[in-house]
Amino acid sequence: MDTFIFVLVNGLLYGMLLFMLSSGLTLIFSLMGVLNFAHASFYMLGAYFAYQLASFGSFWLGLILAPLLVGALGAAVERFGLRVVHKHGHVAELLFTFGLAYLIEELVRLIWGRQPVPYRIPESLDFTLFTVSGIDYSAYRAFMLVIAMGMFVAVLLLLKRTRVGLMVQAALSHPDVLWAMGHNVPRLFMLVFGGGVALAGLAGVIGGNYLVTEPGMAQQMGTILFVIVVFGGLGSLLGAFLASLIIGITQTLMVTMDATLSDLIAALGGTAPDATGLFHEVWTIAPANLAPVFPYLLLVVLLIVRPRGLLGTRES
Amino acid sequence: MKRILIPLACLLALGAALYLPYMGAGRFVIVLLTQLAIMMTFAMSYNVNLGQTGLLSFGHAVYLGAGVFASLYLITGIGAGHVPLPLELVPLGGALAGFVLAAILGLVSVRRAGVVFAMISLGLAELAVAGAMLFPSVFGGERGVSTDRMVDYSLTGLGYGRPQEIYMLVLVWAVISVCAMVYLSRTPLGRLANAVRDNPQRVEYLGYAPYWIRFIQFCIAGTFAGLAGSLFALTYEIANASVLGIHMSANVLIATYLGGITYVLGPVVGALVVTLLEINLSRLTEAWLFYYGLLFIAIILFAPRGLTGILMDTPGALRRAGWGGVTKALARWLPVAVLIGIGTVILVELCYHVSNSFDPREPLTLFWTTISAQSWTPWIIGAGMLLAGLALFWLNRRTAIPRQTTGDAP
Repeated sequence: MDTFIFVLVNGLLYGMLLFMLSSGLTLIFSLMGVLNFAHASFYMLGAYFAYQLASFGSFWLGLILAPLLVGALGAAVERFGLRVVHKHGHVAELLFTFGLAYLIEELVRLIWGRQPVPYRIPESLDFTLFTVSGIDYSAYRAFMLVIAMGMFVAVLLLLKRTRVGLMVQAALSHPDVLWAMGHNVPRLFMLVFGGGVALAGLAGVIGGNYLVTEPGMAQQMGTILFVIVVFGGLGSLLGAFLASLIIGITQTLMVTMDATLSDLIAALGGTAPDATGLFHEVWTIAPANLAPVFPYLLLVVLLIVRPRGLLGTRES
Repeated sequence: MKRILIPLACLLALGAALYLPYMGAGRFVIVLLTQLAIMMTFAMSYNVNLGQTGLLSFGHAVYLGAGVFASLYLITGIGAGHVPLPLELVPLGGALAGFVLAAILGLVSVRRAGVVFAMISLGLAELAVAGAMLFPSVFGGERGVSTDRMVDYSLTGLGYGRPQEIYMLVLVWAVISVCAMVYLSRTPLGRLANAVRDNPQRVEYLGYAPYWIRFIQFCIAGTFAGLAGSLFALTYEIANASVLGIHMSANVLIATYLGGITYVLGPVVGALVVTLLEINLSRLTEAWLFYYGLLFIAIILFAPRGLTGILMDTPGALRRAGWGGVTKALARWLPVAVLIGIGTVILVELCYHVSNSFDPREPLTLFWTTISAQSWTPWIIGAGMLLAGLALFWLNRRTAIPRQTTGDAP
């Protein structure tokens, strides 16, 4: 039972990390109609910037500066890249962010090399917070959870309680009217893009040392993010939140399970099938092996059953 | 003029492709040409989706992979005497595999075009790769599946042991496929697909079902991708699950877009350029993937109709501008291109040398001069050139006369 709770907490943590990325992605999508392929690349840049800043000064410097740098870079990308291709339509925009993701990955390889960089957890947070039935819970995980929760609350307050948030909400449904009323909608787009990308950068700062900081981290994260935003319903913030948690917790739970189909058959009193021939692995695949595939399986099933996603209101 | 020039160019290219292996071209040239023919078929099949029907797929390599693995098993089966099929007809088996898979996956994925379709194709691709890795008994895991194409059962009596022989087989199939796809794009179905790409509501209003048109086009694309996979299997005789992967899909997407998706033969140009770049640039510099990405971004930003578009527009633009205009434009933009280009190359190569080479202290040769990445001078020169180029670009843009737009891609 204690193990189960630990797995649940870890899953929650992973889910919150996913949400830090998917929230920005889904906000950008619902505002601009652009599914930002390079979103996870900005997450990677956040981790690498934080690593660089941590090697110059301290982790805390990176925690503050890296998301800002990533955000500024994102705003520049929107201003000088996306806005230029916007007139060629959504497919061109998608392709542009795709090319950008490709380019950022190569850039990271170029500057920091192909191997993972030693981006470590700060010493001041590298201790065991508490121990329950022999399992340690590190302080850094608690810190990550606090940051992720804090970000969640901050974004919610920003969207619901401030003037900028009001403008964003208005731009979601009626950008033309907002523009006609004298607000600078292109600048708002730039800000939202920069802000969303900065959140991804923050996720990179706190996730990079928890996971691994390497050039492949963007691609690994990227496809799961798309699954989340499609699963949650394109453009729905709450949907993205639920989907992040569901996928985060299920994936973490699956990793801990190792019962296979042949075990199940044996438990039910049957004889385990012969393990030869093509596709014989079916009988011996454990849920732990399936964990990386699970989000995509979920996506495909969902798209057949309910194409607009969990809480989506529109199909495209 | 164009009506004569393009078929003429095609015939010339075909003639060269047929003639090259017999004028004593080396093994390298033949391997290159074979790779080119495969890539051409694959890119053309991709454009049936992207250019003709407006379906942006991130998982086209899945259908290539279906053809590859089906053919590998088919060739082994022929070799063992289980399958009575001459080796020349193996691509039909690959095409069938591609078609069947596309027909199954197409049912769930073509309901919507645009972003939703793109995401589904990505999810399916990831599923296929991860699933293939789970079944080493079928896909061979990291080691892959291999076969031997010398099966002693062929229509022509050739053994297909030599690269020249397999090249001829690949070329014949590639030409047949390209011609078939060009023909299909001119049938009423091809025109309807264009209409679905541009305005699905209106097509529906006219009484056609966009869903089924997309589905048929998707199946055609999958079929020819499977055929290209077959050619891949015949050439290399080995493959692992990475042929299904996102890298392969990304490669064909980039090649097709570089070539120009609004032209029927654009993907052929793209495949040509990408294959040549891949082989020549990768011998020249280790950072070639970065340049490749830069080229892709530049094309998206400044020439959305691709290299073919540039090629097609140049004569008209030259005629309109006259000699004076051309010299003026060159004087304006050439320094920008040179400054940005050389500055970027200097910085990229220095970066690469410092972070990825065995010994960063070793001097490197760049533009015929030997420099040390340890001193600041080359860095400052590179950054200075890049910044000067960007500044000039900005100035030029501000003072440039608005260009005449020549009907950009929709």
